[in-house]
Amino acid sequence: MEATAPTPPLHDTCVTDMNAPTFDADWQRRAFGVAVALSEFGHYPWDAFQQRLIDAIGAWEAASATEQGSWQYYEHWLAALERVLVDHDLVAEDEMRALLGA
Amino acid sequence: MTVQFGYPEDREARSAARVRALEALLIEKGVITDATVDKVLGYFEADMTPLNGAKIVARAWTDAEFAERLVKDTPAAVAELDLPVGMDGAEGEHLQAVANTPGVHNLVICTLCSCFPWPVLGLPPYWYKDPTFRARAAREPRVVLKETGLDLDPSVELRVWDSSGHSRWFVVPQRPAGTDGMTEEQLAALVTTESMIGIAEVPSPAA
Repeated sequence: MEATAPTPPLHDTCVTDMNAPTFDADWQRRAFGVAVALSEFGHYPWDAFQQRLIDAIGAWEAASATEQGSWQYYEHWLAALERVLVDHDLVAEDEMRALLGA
Repeated sequence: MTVQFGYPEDREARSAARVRALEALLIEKGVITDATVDKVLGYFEADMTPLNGAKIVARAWTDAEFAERLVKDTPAAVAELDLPVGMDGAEGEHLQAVANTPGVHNLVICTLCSCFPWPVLGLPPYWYKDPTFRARAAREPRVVLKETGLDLDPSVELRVWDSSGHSRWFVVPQRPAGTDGMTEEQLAALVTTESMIGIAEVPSPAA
């Protein structure tokens, strides 16, 4: 059996504040709203967004601890949103590059 | 640091700017209007809340036949209740209820991302999306439950349900002691989001 890494402690809110607010910042709330609104209005199936979210989180989890930076769920959400917008031709690839470079 | 994961110091401000720019671009292109996102958020915040789940649980506690239908065909049973319209959209069509019994405790997690039964529980609490919680709840759920305050008897079977795009689980907790004679409305007020995720039990009002 290989040596196991020490178990990371649970996030504080797991044990101390069961009703922690859902959004820490307004941009997280907006990013959530945009992703859901576009799906609700038929611009892409929710599964498509979800797969991009799984990909983004999976890439973070697969990265080494020095590379991954601290956990910020809604950064992955935003990255997934940017990908799915390009996937479904709602924003062109070069427009997205310009937006991210700005 | 790689480009992919190189987080600049001002990551919060940059994320906020990215979202603003993205929403502005979608409005400019006519994909959405400036009211679309507020409308959807308003619906989520006002209508898709854990109150829906609490009403469903209270009905299950007071009507054994409903409780049976609820686990057999969750969307159909939920539709019997007078809940906000649109409950079947926004992933409500994949709702799946699992009921706790004296011998079985259910816990809902999502190991891949953060699938959650929005229509009945609202938006997930922060810790539900935490990578440590997700990994540990899958690997050592009994230990995690104990750390968060639920020390299950070893004789109780613990079932862990991994949510996905196709099954959005929620737990029907056990009715606590000391609630005989309470109305459905009074019972609903006792039901917590945590209990419907399975991370806690519903506390007895007498305690």
